[in-house]
Amino acid sequence: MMTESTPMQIQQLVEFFTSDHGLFKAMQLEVLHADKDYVEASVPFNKQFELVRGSGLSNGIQTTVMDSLFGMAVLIALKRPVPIATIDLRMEFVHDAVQGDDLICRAECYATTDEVAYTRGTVVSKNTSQLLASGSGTFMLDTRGPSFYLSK
Amino acid sequence: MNLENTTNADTTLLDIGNLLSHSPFAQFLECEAFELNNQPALRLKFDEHHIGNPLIRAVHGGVLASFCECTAAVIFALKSDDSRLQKALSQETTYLRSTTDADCYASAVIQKAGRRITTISVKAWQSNIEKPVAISNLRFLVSNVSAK
Repeated sequence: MMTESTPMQIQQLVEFFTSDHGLFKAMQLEVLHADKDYVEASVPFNKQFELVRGSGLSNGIQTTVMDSLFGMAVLIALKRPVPIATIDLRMEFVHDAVQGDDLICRAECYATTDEVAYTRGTVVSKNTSQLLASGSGTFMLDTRGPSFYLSK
Repeated sequence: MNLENTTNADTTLLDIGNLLSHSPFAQFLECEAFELNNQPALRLKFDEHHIGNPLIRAVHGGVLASFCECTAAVIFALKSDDSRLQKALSQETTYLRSTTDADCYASAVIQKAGRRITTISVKAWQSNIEKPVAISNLRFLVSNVSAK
C-alpha cells in the first residue's frame, strides 16, 4: 500500500500540472526534474508577467510556481494519492529578478507527519544563478476533495 | 486614504487604476479598484487562467497570494505617493477556506509604516466578507521607494 510513487504516476502528475493547466501553459512552465528528492521547473522570461514595465518576472509568478511545485513535491513524497491543501505559504524575495531573467524553481518536501507535509524551496536566475527568492509551504493532508492523481 | 469625500474617492480610484495600468502582471491578473466602506479595495476578476486545480475549480493559491501582494503594493504606493508598484520584501499567506471559480476581493491595512519597513495585512474573500479565504502579511522596504 505504501509504495513509492511510480515513474508513471510522477509523469502523470507532471502532465497534470503542465499540459492540462491554463496558467502554466501561459507561463510556459517546463518541469525539468521530478522525483521524491526534489521537483525543479523553469519559467522563461515573459513581459506579460513583469510587475512594472522594464522589471523582471514578478514576485507573484515566483509565488505561484512555488505553490504548485511545493504541492507536487508533497504528492510525490506521500507515496499514496491523497487530496492536499495549502495551509500557509511563505516567500522571502531576496534579489530582484531583472529584465530577461528566466527562473529555475526548485522545491522539496522535507518532512511529513500523519496530517501535515512541510516543504521548502528556492527560485534562482537561470541566467546569473543569483538567488531571487526562498520559500516554504505547509500542506494539510487528506483534505476533502479529489486527489491530484487521476484515478488509477 | 479615507474616501469619504467623493472627489478624493474618485482621485484615489483613478490613482489605483493608473498604478495597475502600469503593471503588466496586475493586468494579467485582471485586478481593478473599487470602493468599500470609504476605503479602496481590489477585485480579482475571475478568469480561467486563475484556476489552480481543475478538478475542484479552485483559484490557485499562488494567484490568490499574488492578488494579496498586488493589493498591498497598491496601498503601499498610495501611502508613499509612489507612481509605480513596488515588490514586497517578504510575504506569508494563510489559507483559511477553499475557493470557488468566482471573483475575489481584497482589502489592506497598514499595520506599521516604519522608517525602513512598512508592514501591511491583507484580507481576501469571495462571496462573504465575513468569511475570508486567505489572510496575508507583507513587508515592503521603504528605502527602495523611488522619487515620484
